[in-house]
Amino acid sequence: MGIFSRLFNVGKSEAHAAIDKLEDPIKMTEQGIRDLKNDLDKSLQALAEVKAMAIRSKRELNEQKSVAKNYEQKAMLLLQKAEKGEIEMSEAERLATEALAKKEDAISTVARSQEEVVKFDGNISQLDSNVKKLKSTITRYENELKTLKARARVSQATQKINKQLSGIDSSGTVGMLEKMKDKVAQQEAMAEAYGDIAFENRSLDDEIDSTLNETNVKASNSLEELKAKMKNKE
Amino acid sequence: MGFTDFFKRKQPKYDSTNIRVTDLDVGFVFEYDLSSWEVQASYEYDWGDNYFSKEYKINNGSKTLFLSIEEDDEISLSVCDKIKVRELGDNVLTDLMNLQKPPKTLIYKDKKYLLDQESPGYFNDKTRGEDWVEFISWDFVDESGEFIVTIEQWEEKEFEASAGKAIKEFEISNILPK
Repeated sequence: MGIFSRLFNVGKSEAHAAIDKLEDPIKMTEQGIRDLKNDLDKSLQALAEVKAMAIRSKRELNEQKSVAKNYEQKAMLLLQKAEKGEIEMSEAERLATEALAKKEDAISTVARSQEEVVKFDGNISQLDSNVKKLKSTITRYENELKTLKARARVSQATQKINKQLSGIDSSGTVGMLEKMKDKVAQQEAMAEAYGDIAFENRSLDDEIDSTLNETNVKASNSLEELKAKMKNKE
Repeated sequence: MGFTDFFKRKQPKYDSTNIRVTDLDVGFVFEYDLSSWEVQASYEYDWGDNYFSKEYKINNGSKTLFLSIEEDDEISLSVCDKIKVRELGDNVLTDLMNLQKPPKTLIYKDKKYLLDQESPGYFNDKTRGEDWVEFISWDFVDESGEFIVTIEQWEEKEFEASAGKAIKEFEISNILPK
């Protein structure tokens, strides 16, 4: 393997390591849920649109039913008027035929609207099922994320406590106490060492001076006085 | 629009997984009384003292109703249909015209209603963006408190009436945004 390809592999592994550090599973799940919610929003809007079209088709269906009924009634009225002699029968039949033609137009619109309503109802049930699945997925992910966040918090806290208790964490309370103990022990050892050195360094003169210091002289004098006092009593 | 706004994604005002009745707007669709309803228009009422309520004109392909939403400590909902003032009794419209006052009680569809409150306010058709219009509303409720009749006065001689009932929030479901 050439030096350059080895260097390239080193660079690649370092880059992967850096990206691994950047990948926060909680943040990535949150982003995933946001993306799913956007998809859900679009699906909801599409479903609303289809439902609105179904409502409009139903409205048109009802309106055209009324129109058809109205034209039929008009045709009947025209024929009744002709029977009563109020208008010419031929004229009444012409107008009634026109009215019935319009009724047929309305009926064909009713049939078309009916077909649309059926078609939209099919689309609605399909979209509705997709929306329900998406909602359930989002709810499941959100619940899992809540658990994941709680577990992460607990594990972080546990890790911190365990680190402190095991003494690995030099900045923790236990670490500080251990450091303090070491320092005190060191100071005590130093004090003892200085004491020993001071004792060893005493010269003969120091010993003499110490023996002849004022207290000792006073004590010797008192001793002599006491001896003299006892001799006189005898 | 600033440069950074170009990159900002437009976020909806509602939570897609939990769209509530208070999020309703024109074009929204929802389920009520075993039927799908489309919001066709949105109105706003100003009752003074910073108290507002909303009303939506809704249609299910067969009929048109009006859904009122009042948000105080809790959400109050009612669904009403426009009716003719004459349906409230022979003398009601005459008395309103002559006395400019509503009756204390009235009978509608064999049910007795009692005058509950008089509320002067301002009305705005949000869909049309019209100016605020002053009016007075008189609410009547039956003994159960569930059924409502409302009479509104818009001009000296112009009166409107509606009849309906209070509903619970859960009765409106599957709210879909535009």
